[in-house]
Amino acid sequence: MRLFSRTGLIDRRALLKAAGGAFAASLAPRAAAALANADAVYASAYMDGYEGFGVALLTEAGEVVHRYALPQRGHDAEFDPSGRRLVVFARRPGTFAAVIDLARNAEPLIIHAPEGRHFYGHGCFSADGRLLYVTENDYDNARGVISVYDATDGFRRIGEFDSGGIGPHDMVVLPGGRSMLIANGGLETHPDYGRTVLNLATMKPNLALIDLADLSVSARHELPQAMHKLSIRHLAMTADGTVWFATQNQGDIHALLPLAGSVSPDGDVRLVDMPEEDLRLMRGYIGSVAANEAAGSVVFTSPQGNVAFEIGCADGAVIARHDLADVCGAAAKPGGFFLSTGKGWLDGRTTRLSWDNHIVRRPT
Amino acid sequence: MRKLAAAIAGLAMLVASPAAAQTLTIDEAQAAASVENLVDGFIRPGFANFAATAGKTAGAVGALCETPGAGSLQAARDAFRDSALAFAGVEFLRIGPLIQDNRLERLLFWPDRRGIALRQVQGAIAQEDETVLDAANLPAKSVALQGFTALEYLLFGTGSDALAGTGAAHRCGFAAAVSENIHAIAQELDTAWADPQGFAAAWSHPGPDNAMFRNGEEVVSELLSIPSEAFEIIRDQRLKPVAPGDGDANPKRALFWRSDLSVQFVGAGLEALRAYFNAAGIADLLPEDARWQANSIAFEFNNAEATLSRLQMPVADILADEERAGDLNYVIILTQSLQSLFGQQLTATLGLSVGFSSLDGD
Repeated sequence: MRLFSRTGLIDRRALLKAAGGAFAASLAPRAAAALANADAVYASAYMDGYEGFGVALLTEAGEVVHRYALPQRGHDAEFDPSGRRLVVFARRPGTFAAVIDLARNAEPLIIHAPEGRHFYGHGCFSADGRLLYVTENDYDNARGVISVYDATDGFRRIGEFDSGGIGPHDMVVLPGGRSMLIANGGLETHPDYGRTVLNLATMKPNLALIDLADLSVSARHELPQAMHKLSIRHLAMTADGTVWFATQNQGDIHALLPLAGSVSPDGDVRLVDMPEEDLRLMRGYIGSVAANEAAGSVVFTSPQGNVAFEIGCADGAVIARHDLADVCGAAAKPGGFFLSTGKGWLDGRTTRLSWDNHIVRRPT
Repeated sequence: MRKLAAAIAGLAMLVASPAAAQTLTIDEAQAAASVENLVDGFIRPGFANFAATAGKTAGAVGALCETPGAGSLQAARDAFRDSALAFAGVEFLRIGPLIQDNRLERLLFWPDRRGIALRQVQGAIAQEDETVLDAANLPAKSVALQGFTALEYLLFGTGSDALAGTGAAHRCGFAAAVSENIHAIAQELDTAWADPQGFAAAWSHPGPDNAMFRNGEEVVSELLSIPSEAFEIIRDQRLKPVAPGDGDANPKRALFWRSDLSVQFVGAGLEALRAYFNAAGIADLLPEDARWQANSIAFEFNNAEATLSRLQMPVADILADEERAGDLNYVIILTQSLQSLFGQQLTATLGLSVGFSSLDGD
């Protein structure tokens, strides 16, 4: 059996020939038309009605342009800075990442985690697109690792470094490309015990700032001890280098601790002071965060709470609330956010696919 | 530090859509009554029993230290087993009091993949650490020194037979302090659940002024997620780590293998989960055409009970016998089935939305 089969709107012979315009020219007419009218292209992992997994390219209107099958459930995805390649990361504790070259008619390239490691579902490219970083669990040693792959050489693994904490999840390369901020969720897990948190009493999540020149930890931002069970998981960055973070409460969710915050380029950590009534609706859990530069807002989604909140970047005030069952995926779109749900809702359209936690927007 | 909800609620734009959550099939009064029945018929008696047996254990270990001997050691070990099994009946109630102040981790530091508890307990014994002899000191210490796994090692682990003689005063004093600490936590839990204004009241009286539960949906969601998560805990933490299949079955990865309680602990947990289901009257909340789900649940509980009855032996013996090892794997399948019945079938039947993204958290 082939690991990958292409499904969806176009057949094998009509595969992608090039990114951008050439890419559109290779699509089936309906998909090409949809794409031609789209200002933005997104990607998100999904599960179909038969428990088959994949990743889809989407237009901002919520049309599915193309689907690629995956061997297991995907989680986050990342386009390289040119928008030519898309990498999808297996959901934790998955052990693969799939690299799809949108410009070539080729099978996706599969990156496998080494023995004794699994991925966490997230990764990112270096600013110049030459390197791919992936968050990884060295589970026998309870150590968070960032593995490094050479995107110019078949995604060969060329090294790794310490993530600065346990359970690294999402990460971003900061403006200038010289440093990286990693959300170390703090959760020690081991495949022998499923998703059991092995260090609940002592967990200590952090945001680790890594100097990419020497791969050292140049700063660690931690939350106050009373909030040590807030697992910092997801990040979204604005152009000035402010990073918004979102957490998941591993302790008593009724304690209504603040679930999100931001780190300024100077390293000032601020928590989002949401009204209690809104905070409690999220049930201690934010699944995704996205920033909209132009609108000056960020969105936090809670599939546990069936709710998403748009917050003003400047004052942290709630701008809008979206009541959507199982909402999680979020990405910026003109004037707001492109949202998806595990129930098939795709920014206003109903699809037959269960959308996974994240949506990424292709760089233009 | 938080703003008043009312101050900002008017400013926010609410965007509701047809994709909003489903609605509950039972009314708020039914949901509340179910929780009240559960609390009175299962949770409160469970924690009262846990506190009582923990008190007896503290007494028995104290008596052992006062009068070391084979008889008093046996009595202390028996008392440990009783309180550990009583704990099995409530340890999955990971809401409210049990998840506050690290009580759960202090009572049960498990799984302990890297053997931290063993190392710390042995270290305290080897150094004759005086500070572990006073229960008042324990809450500030590592959770690995405070609860059942520490006490089990002290009473059943290497060197524990010396407790029957007079030369193990430090170890005995340490065990007494741990047993008192467990008792103190058990009493806190009992008190918190008995409190008419406590978590139990919040859970069974949803409303706009209730900070924890606003409506029947939130009440029922908690009611069903507890057992669903409990089956997962039993499977992933108690059964899978020791089960054959991955090629490295290891009886010493079983919880309470030293006291030979591993299987009984699982059995007590499943029995308690059945009692939970019955006390809450969940079967009566189901519409006629979904009653089969209650029958399926009863069927799976029966299967688990019958299978576990064949496994009343040390885990090492189970693993050495192909048929028994197969039974162990079957119990794993049953916990999966029960988890799906509670976490997906019942949940959907009662009108709660079951999420693709929210199910296993990432």
